Amino acid sequence: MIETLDERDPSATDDGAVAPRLEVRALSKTFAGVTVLKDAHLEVRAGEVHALVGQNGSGKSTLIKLISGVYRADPGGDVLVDGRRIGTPVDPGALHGEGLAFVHQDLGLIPDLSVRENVRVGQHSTRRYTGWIDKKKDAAAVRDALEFLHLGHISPQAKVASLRPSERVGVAIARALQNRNMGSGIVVFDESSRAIPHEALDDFYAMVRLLTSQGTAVIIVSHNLTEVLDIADRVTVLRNGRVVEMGRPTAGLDEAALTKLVLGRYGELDDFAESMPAERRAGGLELRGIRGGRLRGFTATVQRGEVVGFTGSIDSGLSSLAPLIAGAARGSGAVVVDGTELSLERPSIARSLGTGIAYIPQDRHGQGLATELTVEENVTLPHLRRRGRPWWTGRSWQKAETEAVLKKFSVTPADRRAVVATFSGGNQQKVLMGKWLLGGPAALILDDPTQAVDVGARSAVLSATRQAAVDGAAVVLCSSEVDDLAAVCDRVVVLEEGKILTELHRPFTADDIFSAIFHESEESH
Amino acid sequence: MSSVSPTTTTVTVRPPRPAAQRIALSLLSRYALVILWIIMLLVLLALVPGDVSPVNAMRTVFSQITPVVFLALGVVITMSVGEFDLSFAGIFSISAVAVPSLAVLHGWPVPLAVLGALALALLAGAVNAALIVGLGINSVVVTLGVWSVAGGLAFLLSGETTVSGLDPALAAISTGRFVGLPHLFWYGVILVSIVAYVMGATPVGRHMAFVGSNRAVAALAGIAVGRVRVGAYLASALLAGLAGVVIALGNGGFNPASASAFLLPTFAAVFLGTVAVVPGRFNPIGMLIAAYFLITGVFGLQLLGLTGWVTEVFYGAALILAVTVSHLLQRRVKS
Repeated sequence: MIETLDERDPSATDDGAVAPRLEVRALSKTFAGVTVLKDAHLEVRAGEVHALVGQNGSGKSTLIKLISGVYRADPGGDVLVDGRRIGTPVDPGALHGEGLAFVHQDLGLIPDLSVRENVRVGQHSTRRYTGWIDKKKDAAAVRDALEFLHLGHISPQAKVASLRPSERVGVAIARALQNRNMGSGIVVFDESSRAIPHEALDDFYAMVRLLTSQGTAVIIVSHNLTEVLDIADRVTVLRNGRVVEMGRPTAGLDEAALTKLVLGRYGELDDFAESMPAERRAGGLELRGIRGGRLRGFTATVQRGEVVGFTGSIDSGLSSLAPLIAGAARGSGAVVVDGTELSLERPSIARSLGTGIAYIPQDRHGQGLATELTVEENVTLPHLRRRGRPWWTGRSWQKAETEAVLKKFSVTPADRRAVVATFSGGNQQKVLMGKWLLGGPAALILDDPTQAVDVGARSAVLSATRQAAVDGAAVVLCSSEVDDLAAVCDRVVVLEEGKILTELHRPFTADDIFSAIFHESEESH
Repeated sequence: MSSVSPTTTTVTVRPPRPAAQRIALSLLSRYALVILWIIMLLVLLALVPGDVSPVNAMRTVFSQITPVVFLALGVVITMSVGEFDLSFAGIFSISAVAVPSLAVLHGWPVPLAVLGALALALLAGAVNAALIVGLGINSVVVTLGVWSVAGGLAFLLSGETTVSGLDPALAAISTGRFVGLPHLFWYGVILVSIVAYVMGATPVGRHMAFVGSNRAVAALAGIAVGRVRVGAYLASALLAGLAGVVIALGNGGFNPASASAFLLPTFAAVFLGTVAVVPGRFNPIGMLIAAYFLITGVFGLQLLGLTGWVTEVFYGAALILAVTVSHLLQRRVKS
């Protein structure tokens, strides 16, 4: 499939204009009567970085899966590369030949195999008679691909596990680019930057720019709007299964404007901290010399009746904090709940629960709820031992409490016997909140609780967070959503490099918190 | 990224069905297997030459001297906590051989031989638990190995023959009748009831369901996940051991070569059981119904003069069918 550019490029259409590198017309997808993507259009030019953004459930991953042929589009749409129609339906097996390459979220590398094997999988050169893999030829092809990315120092024989993160990204890109002419084709990075550690991101962006400088088109699917603004030339925004903005140049956008496009609202939430005043009470949470993950030892207190936000940039250590406080991760230092000291060197979730800590983890499906089981079973699980008896769980309290949770959070459908998997993300999050608030916890630890929930559920979750403080819990909200923090927190602690950078007291706005995280001085506003 | 069901638009509002219709539907989906069972029985009786009354036929079905219910109960327990156990056939074999071997060949008093058999079973269960839960070794590999080791040692214990010669009076423990059915049947019913109660109505049972469904969620709720898993392996081994004891006593001896024949009917009963009573979950009562459903099928085929190969085809087909139906049920729940 080695073609020269000349053969490939007669993409000029009849009217003389150059056809876009990738064009998508009128793609729709319906699952079981529910339209998840409607009439999507997309136009990606050669040599540009084009970002695809939208909340979870907005349809952006559906769009990518339609282009890559993972899903079959509803009849009627077109996908064109350089003016040539390749679908619908798109044949996933033919994509590489058509110039489309996909780098998936986890990079799709097998660490135990060599660079050569990872790059050449599915594209192996074989010996003529035996059909054996021609390792020499493969190695040479891999070397060429790596050379091109200025990664010639990586040996094709090295195991992927032995490479630095930025080199692994290079290997994934080399796989996407092999057998290509310089500057041709399209590379799609589907949430790839999530798998890349912070320190390797610059190298990743440099590689993306290298590709586009030669004329290859790059599509980046990303949640990270700052990243999008940094690297993309144009952005396409999806919301509720529709393309609401196609190919908007990022030059005229700032993060706030892009956020508005993604959310379809102004990002303003009720000021729950103001409308739901909570009274400080004795007791609460004391964090003593917390270390673990990227946290390098700090001390803080959270009184009962108070919501304290913890925030920071991606590498601040914020992500390690909530599991440590909850006893779900090992570290050092101690957490004191109402005078009872819990050592972090030998954490025990059971002991943490015993002191009244309730922990709402970030990973709702992985750690929050057993989605195959019913709402009632999930909601009552942490309270069985206290409320039930060893020989009888008790039916009436389960029914009453679950129905109270469903009502309080207006979960729909309000069916306690329904399996959690059948609920929407927002309603699942409400169920998860209810599960832990049911016991009237001494301390509530939330880790990014509004991730992937819709606007209505977000309000419900934040109001419940505030309500927990009103009811007398010490509430810790670990989040990078400054709007959330501004809406419910009495204080916000900003972390940097594992330590406390500063602490904000009310009144503050989301912008104040944002500036504190990113050190923007007052004057620059 | 996995696209979890799109968050906003999926709630299709269906007009609520009348309560009576809803209850009827729910009963139908829970007890379809029972209905199928009755239909199968009637069809068989119509086909079989001669005059067999349904009552007699049922009595014959329930009078089978088989360890399947005991073994399958153990598998229900391990499966429901998300573990996989193939070793029960080997454990069953070594316990069943141990009773007559220790009593007849080595002259132990029978009660002591029974205790010895159960101790062997628990030892095998402990090996499973130590390797799988303690060291994190793949459960298929470990239990496959333990199956083979225990099954092989059973041959060693028996001197590679059928050991018999237990006091025939002891057979009454298993084959003596109560309300016209052998004690063995009632033991199965009692054990199934106990396990069904524990799994359905106690905190331990709920904890088992969560450990089986999502270990991280269970751990974060303060459940001792490791202890639940170890307990499941020990309970399963103990049930396999008990099965061995009652079968050995009932038959007066045991031939270890016969043990592996129970592997498939056991799995078929466990998986077929997931489509009944509590659809989509491993559950003891569903398993009990499924076990006798399968026995009825085989019995019917025998009445029709089909033996040998048919049994294996029937069990294999039932296993695949059960897993397929259960998978489809789950998919309907999840989508």
